[in-house]
Amino acid sequence: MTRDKLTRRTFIRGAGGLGLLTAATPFLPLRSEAAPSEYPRRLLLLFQPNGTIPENWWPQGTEKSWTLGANLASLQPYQDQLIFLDGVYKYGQRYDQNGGPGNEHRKGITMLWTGSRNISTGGEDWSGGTSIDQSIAKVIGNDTPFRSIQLGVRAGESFYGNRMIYAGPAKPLAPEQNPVAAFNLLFAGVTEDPAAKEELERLQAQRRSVIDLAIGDLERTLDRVSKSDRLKLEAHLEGLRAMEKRLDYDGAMCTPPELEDGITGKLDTITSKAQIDNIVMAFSCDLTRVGSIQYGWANTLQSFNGSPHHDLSHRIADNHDKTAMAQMEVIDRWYAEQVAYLLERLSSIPEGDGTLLDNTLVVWSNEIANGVTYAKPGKTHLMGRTPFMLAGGGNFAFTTGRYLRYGQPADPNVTDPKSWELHHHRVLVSICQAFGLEVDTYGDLDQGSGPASRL
Amino acid sequence: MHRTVKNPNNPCCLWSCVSLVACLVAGCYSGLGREADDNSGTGSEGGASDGDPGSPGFQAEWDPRCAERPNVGSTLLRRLTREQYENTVRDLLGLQTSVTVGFVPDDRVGPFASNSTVPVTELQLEKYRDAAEQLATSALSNLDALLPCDPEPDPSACAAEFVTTFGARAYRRPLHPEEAEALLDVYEHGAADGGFPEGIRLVIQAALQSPNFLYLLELGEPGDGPVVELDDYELASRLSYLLTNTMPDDELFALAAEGVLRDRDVLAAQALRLLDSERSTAALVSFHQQWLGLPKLEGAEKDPGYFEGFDEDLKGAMVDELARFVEYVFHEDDGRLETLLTAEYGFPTGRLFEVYGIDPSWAHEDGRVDFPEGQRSGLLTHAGVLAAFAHRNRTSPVHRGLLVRENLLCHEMPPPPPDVNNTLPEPDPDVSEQELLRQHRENPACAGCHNLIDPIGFTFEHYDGVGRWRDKDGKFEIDSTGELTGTDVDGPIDGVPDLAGRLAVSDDVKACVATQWFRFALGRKHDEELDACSHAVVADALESSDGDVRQMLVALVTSDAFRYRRAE
Repeated sequence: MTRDKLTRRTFIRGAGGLGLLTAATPFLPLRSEAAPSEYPRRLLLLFQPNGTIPENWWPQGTEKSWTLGANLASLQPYQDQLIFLDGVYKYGQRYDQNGGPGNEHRKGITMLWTGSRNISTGGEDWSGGTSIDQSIAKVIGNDTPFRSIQLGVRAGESFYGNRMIYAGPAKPLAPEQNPVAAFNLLFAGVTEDPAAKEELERLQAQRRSVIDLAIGDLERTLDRVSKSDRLKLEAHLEGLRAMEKRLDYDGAMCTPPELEDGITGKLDTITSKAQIDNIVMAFSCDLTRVGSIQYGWANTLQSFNGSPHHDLSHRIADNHDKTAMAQMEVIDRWYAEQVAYLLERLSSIPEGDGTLLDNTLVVWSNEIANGVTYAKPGKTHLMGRTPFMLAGGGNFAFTTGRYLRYGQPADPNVTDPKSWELHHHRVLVSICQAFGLEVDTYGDLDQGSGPASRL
Repeated sequence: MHRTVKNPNNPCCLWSCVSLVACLVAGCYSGLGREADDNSGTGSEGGASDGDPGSPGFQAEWDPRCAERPNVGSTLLRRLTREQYENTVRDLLGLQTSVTVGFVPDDRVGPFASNSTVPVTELQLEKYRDAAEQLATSALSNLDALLPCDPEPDPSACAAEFVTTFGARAYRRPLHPEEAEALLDVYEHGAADGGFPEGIRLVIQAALQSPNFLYLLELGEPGDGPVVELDDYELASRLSYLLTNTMPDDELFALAAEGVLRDRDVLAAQALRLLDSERSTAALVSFHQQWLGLPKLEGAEKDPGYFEGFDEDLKGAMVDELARFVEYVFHEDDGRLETLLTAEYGFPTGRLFEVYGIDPSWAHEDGRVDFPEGQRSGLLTHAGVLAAFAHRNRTSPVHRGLLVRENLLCHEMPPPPPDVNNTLPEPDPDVSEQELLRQHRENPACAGCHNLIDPIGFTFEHYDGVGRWRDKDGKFEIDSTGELTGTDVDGPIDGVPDLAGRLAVSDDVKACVATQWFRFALGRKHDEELDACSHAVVADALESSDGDVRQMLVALVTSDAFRYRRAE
């Protein structure tokens, strides 16, 4: 809230070889000298589309003695930081059963973090709920310049199958898909040069007067519009107030990541790395404590090797098509490598006795489960055994280094939710509770209560 | 299984309205109507139809029930689309810009970009700020053109004058005193930083971030009931953004200041003035591009083995062709729906000649090319449309059939049921596309909808995945026969020219075109009940004028839905 706190928290020490280290200001305590509880809790949601090849994705073994799936080998250095939740039944499949418009992919993404059905609006059939990160941001996001940050790697146009983060019913938050724009948004104010600082202060004062004008114009208008339009203008007003508050932040103690040349904005490694660098340094600088990165979108055709990703996800199931399998493996491995890079970055930044990763809970999931080993030809994707992997957050969330297998039907084609021990709402509740939210249910489709057992 | 394609609860509403209206429609708009006598001195040269001898007299009458007690569905506050933002900035500041490239994508209503349902995000507000700062700085390089006065000897007085004149253009109406005061405060702040120019720069920067600029705010004077008439300036903006996709021009501002734009005859005359001018091209092109799904081309790829060089240049030529075609139909041909759907000419450039299999020497001086007889038929056979509705290595009868069902007939087709795999097997040289699709229609879960979709899509089979004409698909002769069902022009069809010819005379299609323009005009779907009359009047105008889109647009802008708003 206060600038003192911001400034103290935004100091970075040992920012993992970025080579742009800020000189320590002597009268401020270094992070490493503070007790672990001093460090903020952060949440990062990751989305990968079109399911996975389960047999090479899920670990094998018991809760404490297990090996990673072959396609996730790149995560091996961080195995003790991971938790796999095997057997989650995620909502989003049945048109009739789960309510609301949309196909299984698209409801799969809108329901993933909201646990809620879609609603019909004058435009798209957006989610009618609030995503967990936004509920959590209302609690832990108020002391940072940004309450939350949404990033995307080629995450698409405005369409319900392309949006997973919701500030509220039918209030999708589009991700920033251009890493350069995200970088500018987050780190534009960061400078050590006194002349530049003075210029920035002048600019910020101008911006304040401009925002004041817009706020005045909005306030004069609010009472003169219809109820539904008023909601839109209030959201605008809230946004302006957040921007105004942000003007207090001068970024003095923050080190931006290095921005590589040649960023494409496509679904590729250079774009992915730049977005990961952005969010990691935004966490480290305490610019925000809540973030998400969305790769592609539900049902995406985007691929890395010619064949459309979505087609591959069916071909592996339908035909046991070896070519498709090999191409799908490339995709699954690529995603695992992105997560590995993220964990490498998070664990390279010291905080207290540990690292940024210990204070950051990462959740990696998907809009569907998929199933090469069991989906019958002609069948659609499955929702049972949707990938859920947690990483980090050891200082406040869950005991890591575990493979948790939940009760599930011998035949994964069984789509009756009752046959699955763990529904994804329980996971949503567990995550909320880890951040101090007092909730037992989450989303309007929740059929149970309480957190995930054993987690 | 699927929603019925015609609303059984409401089968004759349209027709009952039509019969009432039809007998009322007569004569030229400017000469008839109860307000005809007031239609003088409006400054609109040429007025209604007399500037365009080639078209029938423009009529616009209205169902008397609309006039008696105006009704209108829930109005939605609209924020400028990216296209509107850029066009407006061009007209306001004289700046050509692509500053909206990084904006948060527009939301949509039907196939059209529209920011009327989802609240603006903080991220977009940041982008508005960046854009405003850039634009204000650029505008300063041309300060003299923007200033209504000499800043010497009294810069403050000139600043006040600038705030009044520029502000009224930026907010599209005269400023309230407190709004002018707020802009002057901003000027003072800037001037204290860097003198007069910096003050002006900051005023521009602030105006571009004011809700009065960013939204088409319709506040008007509160009326007695829930239905409120728009004021003259609000009407000027609605009209201008519908027909030119940008802010009002000087004439519209002048008429709004005179307070005469609410006169339906004046409004109709202004609609015709804009439609006859080149300024309407941007809006007409934007509508048709989105109606035909051309934005899908962005990011579309083709397998190099299927077609080598499906690059930005070629896609650009496809987009340009549709734009040039629409411009030609409206400004040089007759502007009729039938022409849009059946014209046998196109405007290829660059490698598009190759796609069409046509020698560039065939082109007329104006770039127009007459296609071989019976091969092409208006918008539906544009290479851009055909390429957008196809896979990367094959056609897509399903997507092409859906385009006709959803965009041209306004039939809402549900997404596939959850228990089916909707991915086609890989192309097989031994199995024709028709046969592959026939197999998936054997699944009863698919058959319900696909029996409506695929038989339309098959008529497109002479055009491959990039729009090239073909007589064979691999070793199979093309079979372009299909069938229209669930419409007022049902029957067997063969090929797109046959299909398009039939759609062009369909009243269902005309009603749908009215629906689509309604969405484009107002950023919302029409309310089946509250907007029924307005919608019927618009659809009828298209029917009774033999598909004259301009006449339909006059009916639209003079309808209740366009001139009133719901204030609750």
